[in-house]
Amino acid sequence: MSRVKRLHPVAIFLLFLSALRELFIPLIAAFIFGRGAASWDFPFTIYFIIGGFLFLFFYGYLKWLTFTYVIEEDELKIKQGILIKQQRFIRTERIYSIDITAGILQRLFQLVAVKIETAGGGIEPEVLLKALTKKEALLIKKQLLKEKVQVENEMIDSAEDDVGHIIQLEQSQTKWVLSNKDLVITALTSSGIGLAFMAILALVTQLEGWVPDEWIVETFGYLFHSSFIFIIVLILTMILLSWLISIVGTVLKYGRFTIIKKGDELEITRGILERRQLTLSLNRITAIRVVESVLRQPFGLVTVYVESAGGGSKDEQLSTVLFPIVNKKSIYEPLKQIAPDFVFDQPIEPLPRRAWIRYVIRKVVPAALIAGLITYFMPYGYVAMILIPMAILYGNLQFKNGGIGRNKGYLWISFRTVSRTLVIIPKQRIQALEVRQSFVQQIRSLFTIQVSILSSIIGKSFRLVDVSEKQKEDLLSWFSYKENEKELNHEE
Amino acid sequence: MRPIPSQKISKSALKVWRMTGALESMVYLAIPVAYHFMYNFFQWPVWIFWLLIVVVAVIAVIKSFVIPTIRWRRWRYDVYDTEVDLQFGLIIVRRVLIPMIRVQHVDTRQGPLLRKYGLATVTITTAATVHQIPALSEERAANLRDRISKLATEADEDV
Repeated sequence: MSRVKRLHPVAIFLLFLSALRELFIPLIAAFIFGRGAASWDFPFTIYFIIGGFLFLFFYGYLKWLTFTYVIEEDELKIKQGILIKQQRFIRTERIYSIDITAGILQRLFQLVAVKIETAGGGIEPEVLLKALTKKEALLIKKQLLKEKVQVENEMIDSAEDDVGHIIQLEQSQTKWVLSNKDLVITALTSSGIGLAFMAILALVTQLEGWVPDEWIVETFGYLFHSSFIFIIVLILTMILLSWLISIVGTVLKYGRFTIIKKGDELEITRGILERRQLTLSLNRITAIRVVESVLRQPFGLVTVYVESAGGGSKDEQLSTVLFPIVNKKSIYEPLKQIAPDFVFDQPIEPLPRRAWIRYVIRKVVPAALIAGLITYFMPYGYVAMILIPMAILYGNLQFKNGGIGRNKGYLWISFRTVSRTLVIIPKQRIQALEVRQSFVQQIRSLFTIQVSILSSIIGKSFRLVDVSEKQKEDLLSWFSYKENEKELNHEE
Repeated sequence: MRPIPSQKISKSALKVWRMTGALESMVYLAIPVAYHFMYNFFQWPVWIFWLLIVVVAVIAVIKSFVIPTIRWRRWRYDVYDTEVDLQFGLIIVRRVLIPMIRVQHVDTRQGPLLRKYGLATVTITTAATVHQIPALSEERAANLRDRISKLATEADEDV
């Protein structure tokens, strides 16, 4: 019989800290503005602070004391709340994913946090167990998720045995590790650079507000006097700085990236400061995305993402990174180990020639508009005219990269937004297929196709613009369950 | 070529859409009315007022006659044992196939206007998408809901 458990006592400290963090801004505000006319009454302030800390600590303690969980009869039962008691029962079969993570604080005490997510529910994890020993976390995971049918007998075994079992399993299974060399390449070609650049730019513009006016006048005066060189140096420094930031960020995020495959389950662990562990069931994968970012394309490198029902993290648009970096040519090798169902030849049927002009026009029109405005309003603005040939090249590239292919059980779509993407979707994962034709597409008898799948907890669609009528018809009859049924009857 | 779906939605849908279209166009009337007050005040030209009136009238005609007619003509659906087939849209013609096994639940809804004309909308939900068949007669909508729901459950058992 399982007994009711509490989190590791360190949770008191963590709860105290998170309460402190929530109160931080109001506290500071109260400190600065709330004093009013009162003078700095030293003893009072210090007592006030100590009292506040004690109170928060006590609050954390109460929270820890009142938070209990137990796994009983295939149900995770959680009771919490100091004044308002809250009970939450979650049936194990509704659990989609169990994430084991370790933030800096948790690692300090060699503990982990466990996130449990169920079908439905919002972006926030359904249950967050803030501090547990690794052993306990693994035990919970095993009880809730692991090989639901087989494990039933073993669950009677003592806790120690269970953990031993898991470790044994780990040793006998496939493992994929991101090598240090690949990590460095991932970091060097990370597209986080754009984001970092924007952040720095925002910071620099913010700084202006803090710097004295005189200084600004001097600087700007200097700027206008000096040639472009100063601006160029400034921009280059900013680019270099953002590159460094994105390198460090990527290394911290994807360092020690490991996938362990046990039967149908993938366990993805990654991160240097914050270890994230994520469990993903192979039969919950709804699509695989092979993304070739602009920075990586010249080197023939790609990133592989998986979309899955449940799981997925917010910072990756609810997808999960499967391989942070892998050579496009040898992509089948790791895929064969990890997700063999997706390994097969994927020939791509290109878009019809008549779609080319539409792809180009879509890019040229806005480019010409912008270039025109710049030319009209700015000195030397005609330099912006270079946008137009660039737009033609971009449109041409998008057209060339667009394509579609399928076999009996899978559909794959290739397209480019900025990065070139190939998405491979099993037929039985497609929730709905939409074909549409605009007024203008009708003239050239072109169509847009859109395939919807489930990703994490929301729908995600992939779209390919301007396929031919034949491609559209083929796709419809490939997907139609009604027509396939007819075919089957014919065969019989 | 896959034929377009055979079933049309209720003719009364036209009445409802025309009415909502007309009601929505009323909102645009606020613009010429506002201008009317302004031109008295600032002595702006009168002809803009009449122009605005004409524009609103054109919008009203489009919203309450042209759009509902096109929409209604375009709307087709078919419910087979294994899938739902929809076609709709105004300028963009959209065609949607929803396999029965993917249907999670079906329900019918009815706003006050639809209720007045004995109409209801059938909403089909999959794990990733939501689709609607608008303005069917109440009876038909209820039958369709029950049928899809039954087919979806049966399809589930097959897999």
